[in-house]
Amino acid sequence: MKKSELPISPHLQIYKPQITSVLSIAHRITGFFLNFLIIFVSLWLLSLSLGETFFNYFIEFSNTIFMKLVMSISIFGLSYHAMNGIRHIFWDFGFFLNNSSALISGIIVISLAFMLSVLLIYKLGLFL
Amino acid sequence: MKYSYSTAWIFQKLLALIFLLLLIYLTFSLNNISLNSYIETTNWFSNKINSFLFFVLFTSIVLHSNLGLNSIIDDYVHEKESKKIIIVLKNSFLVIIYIVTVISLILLI
Repeated sequence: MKKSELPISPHLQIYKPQITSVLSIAHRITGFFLNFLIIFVSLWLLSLSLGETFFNYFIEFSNTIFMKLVMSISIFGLSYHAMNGIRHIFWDFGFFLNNSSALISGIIVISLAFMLSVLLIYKLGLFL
Repeated sequence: MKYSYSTAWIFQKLLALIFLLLLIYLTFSLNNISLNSYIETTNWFSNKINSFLFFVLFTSIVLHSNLGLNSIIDDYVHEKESKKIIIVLKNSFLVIIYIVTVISLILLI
């Protein structure tokens, strides 16, 4: 393999799973999949601008069990990505950089993301 | 102009801060309306301040996403031709989504 083609980061296949690496990889994965949420929001706005008939079709489609499940997972992805993004900003300013802080802040991020997701899912009336 | 990774990194953090603040504001603002109601939702968007803030939010999200996807492509796609194709697809996707959203917002004001 040419030097220019070597994988530069992160080597997912050789990383030993640990909370810091798993959360970092999860941040990227959720970031990637949140692009589908952007499509959803864009289509929602398009249906709204096209008139009540299109909007009602969109709402009907959004209210299927499958879409509710997709939206709930997306909300968790968004909550996690946002909470972990805040953690990254703290890191950028030099806070919580040692091993124990990284572990504790990781647990806090997961807990907050879970709570925020439940709150948003409840507010949107998806399942609760 | 040469692509600066450090500028992109700072820009991505700033965009994240902007849209986090806007997301919090809009979540509270949208809390008062039913998103299933066509009338209530269109009324919310007919307010120019709401539409403008939504526009800023969506713009910052798209730019943030663009920078994030660039770094994923840089890290995992090393073959030059594939990288070019993926970047063109990514840019097309984001431009189409952005144009559709901006036109929709203009129609709603």
